[in-house]
Amino acid sequence: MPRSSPKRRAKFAVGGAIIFVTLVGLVAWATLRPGSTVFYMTASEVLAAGSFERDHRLNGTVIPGSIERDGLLTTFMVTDGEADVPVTTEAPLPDAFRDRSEVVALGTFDGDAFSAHQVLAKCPSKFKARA
Amino acid sequence: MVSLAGLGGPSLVAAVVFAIAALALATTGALRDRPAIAAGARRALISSFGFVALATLSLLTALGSHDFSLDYVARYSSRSLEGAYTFAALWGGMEGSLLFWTLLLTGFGSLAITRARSRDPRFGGWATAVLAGIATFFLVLLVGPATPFAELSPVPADGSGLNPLLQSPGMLIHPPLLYSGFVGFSIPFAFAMAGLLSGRLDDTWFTSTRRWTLFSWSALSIGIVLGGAWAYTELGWGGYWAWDPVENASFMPWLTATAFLHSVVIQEKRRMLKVWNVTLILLTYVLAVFGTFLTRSGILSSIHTFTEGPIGKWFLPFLALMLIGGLATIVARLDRLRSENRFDALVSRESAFLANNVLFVAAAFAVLWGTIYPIVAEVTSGVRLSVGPPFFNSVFVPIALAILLLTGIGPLISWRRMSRGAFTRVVRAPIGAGIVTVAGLAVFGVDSVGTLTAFGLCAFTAVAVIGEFVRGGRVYRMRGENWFDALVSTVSRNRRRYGGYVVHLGIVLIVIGLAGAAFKSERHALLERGGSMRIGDYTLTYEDRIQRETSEKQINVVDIGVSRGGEELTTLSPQRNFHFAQGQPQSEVAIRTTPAEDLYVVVTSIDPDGAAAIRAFVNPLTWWIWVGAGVMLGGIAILLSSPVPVAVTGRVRREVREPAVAVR
Repeated sequence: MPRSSPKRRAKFAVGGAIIFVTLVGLVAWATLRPGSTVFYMTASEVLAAGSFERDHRLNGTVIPGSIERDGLLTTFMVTDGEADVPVTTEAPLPDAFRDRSEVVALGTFDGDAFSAHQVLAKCPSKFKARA
Repeated sequence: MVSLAGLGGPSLVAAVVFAIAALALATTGALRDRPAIAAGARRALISSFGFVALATLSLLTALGSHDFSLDYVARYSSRSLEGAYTFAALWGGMEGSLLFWTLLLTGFGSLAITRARSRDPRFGGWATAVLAGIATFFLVLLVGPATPFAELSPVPADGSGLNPLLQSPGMLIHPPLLYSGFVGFSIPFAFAMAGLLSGRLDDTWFTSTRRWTLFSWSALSIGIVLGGAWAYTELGWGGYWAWDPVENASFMPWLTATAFLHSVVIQEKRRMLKVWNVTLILLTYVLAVFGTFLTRSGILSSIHTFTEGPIGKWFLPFLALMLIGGLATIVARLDRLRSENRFDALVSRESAFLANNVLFVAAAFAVLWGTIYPIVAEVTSGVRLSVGPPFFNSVFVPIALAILLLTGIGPLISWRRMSRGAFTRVVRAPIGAGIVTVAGLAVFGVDSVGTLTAFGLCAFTAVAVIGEFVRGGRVYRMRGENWFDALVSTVSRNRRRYGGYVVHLGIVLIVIGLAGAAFKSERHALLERGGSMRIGDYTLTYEDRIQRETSEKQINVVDIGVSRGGEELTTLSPQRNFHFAQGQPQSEVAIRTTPAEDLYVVVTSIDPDGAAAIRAFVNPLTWWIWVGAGVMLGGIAILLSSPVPVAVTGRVRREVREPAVAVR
């Protein structure tokens, strides 16, 4: 097999190294950027945190009968079985959202209510109508 | 329709027996180099396919005859389900999808093996063994933990029905296309492994599976675009791609397969990168199976996750086996996979292809990293987190733009090396187009660096690719053909090359559409009847609501009058429906689409007093995504119509170089 000259090989090695470091750096930077990763919390963890201004995801179940709508504003209670957190949102609610749905709300907590700007409800295809 | 449900289970047992027999015979035949045994293995694999087909038929008749004694039928269909969707329920749930996967796998495998039977029996034997091994894995799942033929007692009067979101024409073809793509890669994978195992290390494995590779890549491409179109028209959040784990699952093998399609050209023309190519096809296939695993295991929560399946723990050892076994086989043959040529210069077609490959693989790994990072974080530190679109956009957009740049530059550079003067001559027009575009947009007030770069590169690449057609057609023009005939002659004489360029043009159009999302706007408002809201230049007025009921759902059609600058444009009629079987509402989107922008309207809720919450989006340039996909499809058709390549033998092709069109 023909061999490249050392100089040419060095050029390719340097080029390759630059590309590799750039790409690894890009992935590391993107991972660590604020907003890239969002932590999940249960209702208890939200209450324990006191308050936060960076987005977190609150994961839990909608307490039956707690959903109240006033125009675009919807409030409901999310529970993890131990603690309950009130959630307020003006975001559009997903079709699967209702009493007892498992939801993930994305937003901030001011100590009283979780203010969500996005609410996801458990995948409708997971839903079993027989239940 | 008669239900053949009773045949399903036994058929699958027979299929698994034949698959195991095929595996054993094929391995023996290959090891002992006995054609007769290899032929037996082939017949066993075909028989296995026959029984899988019978099992599939039996599930289809059970679905068609509403045989709710089968748990699967009761879960994914109902009496009121419309015709075609009843059968689409075959891939509506996990068990049925796996059956469909296996049907395609054994079918494709039988076809490929039969067509390759004139080959060296050791080669054919190993290819059969690999395919039968994969089939055995899936069939064991199908007779065991994921059987679609589990019975239900008592038999319910009606089934739960298919998720209403899945009842859309796109859903009839999106899953089969993705599965065809995923499964299709088993053929080049099996042939590559067979080449390594049998020691037949010429290039025949990829030339003879080139059609399969192209077909699979095309199916995956179209499947992904259709998935986006489905999300856009059905899900009602105004977008088409959410970096959802399952979207990523289809995207990762697409990225590595795209790298493979390109790097294989270097192996063909320059007999280099042999190790890299087998590694790429291995990665592509492992990612395709990983995609199936992600979708079906419930390991990641995603809108696509059908069930928290019991099959997750089966997939990981299988994936590990394929990856480790594949890599070990490659390493064992490293000495015989040497390049027969070398890289001559940094600025050469080879280097451009190589850089393209590095970027595609890097993109696949970045997407993989973002997809599995939540699992890594939870396993290593117990932290539960999610990785959102900001990560994927910030890592993917720069890589994608670099790839777009290479799409433009690559074809302009000649093989081996190129003089600076020649290079300058061919990049002048594309660079000019890029600069004019950026300057023009800047004048109109676009100030985002990312957006300017994206549009600038689109112009650069489009002009570069069009330049290739012009240069190619010049020869025919000189012979006196008119420009159209010249274009047709150019393309039809070298369909692989120009088909590829047509696909590139389609990609440029798609990128234009994607970049348009930077100017997207959104409003959410509660409207009383007669009330109106503004978005962009549009005024939307809630005119009327019409209610009616079918056996399946209550339909609420909300008429929204659309006007701009006092001029009535149209009436959009989004719906907010209530599906009885699922006990949940569902929105039907209404879209007014133009090349400039889409006006996208969803009713997110209707109050008891009749007020409607309206969510509206203006999505600039989205139309170009679908047009670009259409152009891509045209390019794919040209590629697939290209004559089957003759296996490259020996050194004949070694010195053949494509004339450097650029340096004339």
